[in-house]
Formats: sequence, C-alpha cells, structure tokens
Amino acid sequence: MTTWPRAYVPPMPVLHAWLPESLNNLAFGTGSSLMINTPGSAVWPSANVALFWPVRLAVPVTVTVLWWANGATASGNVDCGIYDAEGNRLLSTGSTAQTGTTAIQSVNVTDTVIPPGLIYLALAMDNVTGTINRVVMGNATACQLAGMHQQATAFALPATATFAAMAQNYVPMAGALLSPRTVI
Amino acid sequence: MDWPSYPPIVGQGIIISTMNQHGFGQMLDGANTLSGTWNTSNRAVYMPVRISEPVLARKLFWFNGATVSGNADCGIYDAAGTKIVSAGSTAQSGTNALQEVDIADTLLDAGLFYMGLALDNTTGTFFRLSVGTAYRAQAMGTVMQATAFPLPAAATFAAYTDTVTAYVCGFSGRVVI
Repeated sequence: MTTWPRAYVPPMPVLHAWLPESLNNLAFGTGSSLMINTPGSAVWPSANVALFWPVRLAVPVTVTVLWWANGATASGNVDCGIYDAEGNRLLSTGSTAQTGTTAIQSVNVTDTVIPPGLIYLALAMDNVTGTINRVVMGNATACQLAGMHQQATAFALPATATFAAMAQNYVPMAGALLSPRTVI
Repeated sequence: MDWPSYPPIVGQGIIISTMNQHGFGQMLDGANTLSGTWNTSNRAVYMPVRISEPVLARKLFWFNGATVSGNADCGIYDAAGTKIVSAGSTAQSGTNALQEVDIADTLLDAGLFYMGLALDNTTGTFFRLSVGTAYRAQAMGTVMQATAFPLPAAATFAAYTDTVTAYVCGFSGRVVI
C-alpha cells in the first residue's frame, strides 16, 4: 500500500553506523552487511581528526545520550556529536576525558529534538594513543562510497563541519541513544 | 522534506522477530546463533523490534535450545517499557524447536517495541547469538532487568551486562508460524 501514512521505519533506540538506515545498506563488509560482531580496538587514525557518518531519520527523534565504545586503551579526550546534512552541529558532548576500556562511555546531553532527514554522527579524538572499537570496511574508498567524511584539525567538534573526502578505513562504534531511553 | 511519507527501508513481514529485519537481522550475523543457557535466573532481557505498519499480534514464540527446564515468559513492551501482552509463566517444552503461545489478538501500531524474554532457571536453553562483549549488545539496544519473572507490567531498563545480544523470539500476525 503505497499511500499508507505510517509507512516508515521507526528508529531503533540506539543510533549507530550498523543500522540499515546508516552504513549497512551502503557498505560492503562481512558478506553484504557491516556486522556489529566484528569490531576491534584500534587507535584513532589521526590526532584531532573528526569522522562523520550518515544516518537517515524517518521521523523526529529526541537524543538523550551520546556514546562511544572505548577500546583497550584510554587516553586524552573525545568529542561526540550530531550534525545536520549541511554540516551544522546540532549537539555534541564537548571535549570529554576518555575513561574506561573495552566498554561504552556515555554522556548525558540536554534532550535535543533532531528533525527527520539526513544527519551525520560525528566522533573526534585529540590523540593517537587512545583506542576506539571500530570496524574496517576494506579500504578508505569503501568508507567514502558509504557516505563517510572527515575533517582535519577538528577537535573539539566545530560548530560548522567542513566535510572532506574520507581517507580512513575506520568506522567508529559510536552514536546516540533516543528518548524515552536514558540507559544504554 | 519528504517526511512523513518517507519510504520504508525494512520490508514489513508477518513474523516479527529479534533476528529478522525487524530486529537485529540486518546488523548481526545470524549464522552464529547457537543453543545456550540462560544467564541468570529470573532475569528479563528486552530486545528492540520495529514495525513500519500496524500488525495484529496473534502468537508469541521463542526458540528453545537443546535443553528445556522450568518456566519461560515472553512478552511485548512498548518503547517506554510498558507491557502490552505476554504469555505468562509457561513451562518450557520442546527442544531445538519454536515454542508458540496463543495470545489475545493485539493490534500494534507502527513503532518501536521490545520483545521481553525471561526464564526462571539457568538450566533451560534458547537459541541466541553472542557477540562477545556486553557493549556490542548495548549498542544494539538490548537492556535487561533482574528479578523479573514473570515479566513485569512495567519494565525497568538496566544496562545490559551479558555478551548474548539476541535471543530468538518474537510475535506473529498469523496463527500458523
């Protein structure tokens, strides 16, 4: 039924790159999908670089928490955020000391409504000692073709992103938790 | 802006399961789904599923593993953790097979729901998928609740601490699964 008024995909409670409405319908990885059972700990690809990956929202959502999955070593500071399609920052954690290993680090944020459409999740780190759990997609071109971008010298995450061609083979495990959930 | 007539990505099915396109099916490798024991007696696990069109839920099901024991409960919760319908405490029976429970026909609108599953012992088994670390299960949206057998009317979501992400369970819009 093409005119069904509710024919949309309701969002999952946690936004991340593995969702079909993010990289998973676009990327090639393990088989046809970017499986979340394959991440590994790896140092951030370059100090102060920010990585951006797209998510398509079918409906407005309210973000309550931003999060990322630390790897085996924590160091320095991390910033996690959300941008609109034009690169305007909608919210971010700000520079946050990386704490905890092999676990999710989460930051409560002011509940923020994000309108439907294309958004970008973003993560940046100020050093190359700390690690994040991430997936490699084969090569940087695969990340490019999946819609990822990067920005050098972008720590803390800037108010306006200047999207540059993705040159990293690195999909961070990071994202947002949506209302009414407050526990990830 | 193309909202609210944004086209669905997920094809709507009549079987809504944690392990098909309504749940983790497009994000996890289902080939690793194996029989395994329940982690903690009376723990409830809540796993998100989403539907893009209304469904009349007529049956609940879960996938028993190689050993059955005690009692299980399976239910559907809304996004806020309020129970909509559940099987109630049900003797686990039948190995390596789906166990089905008829429920009062329940209309669910499009949206996000949680499949709740609980067992009152750690001998019984279910088919489930392990992703190795709790944080990967957390990222998938899985949450849990201790001392939650049978499934409570209102879930209190707590951070997930187990490495098993997806227990195979769900509901059906058909009487015959």
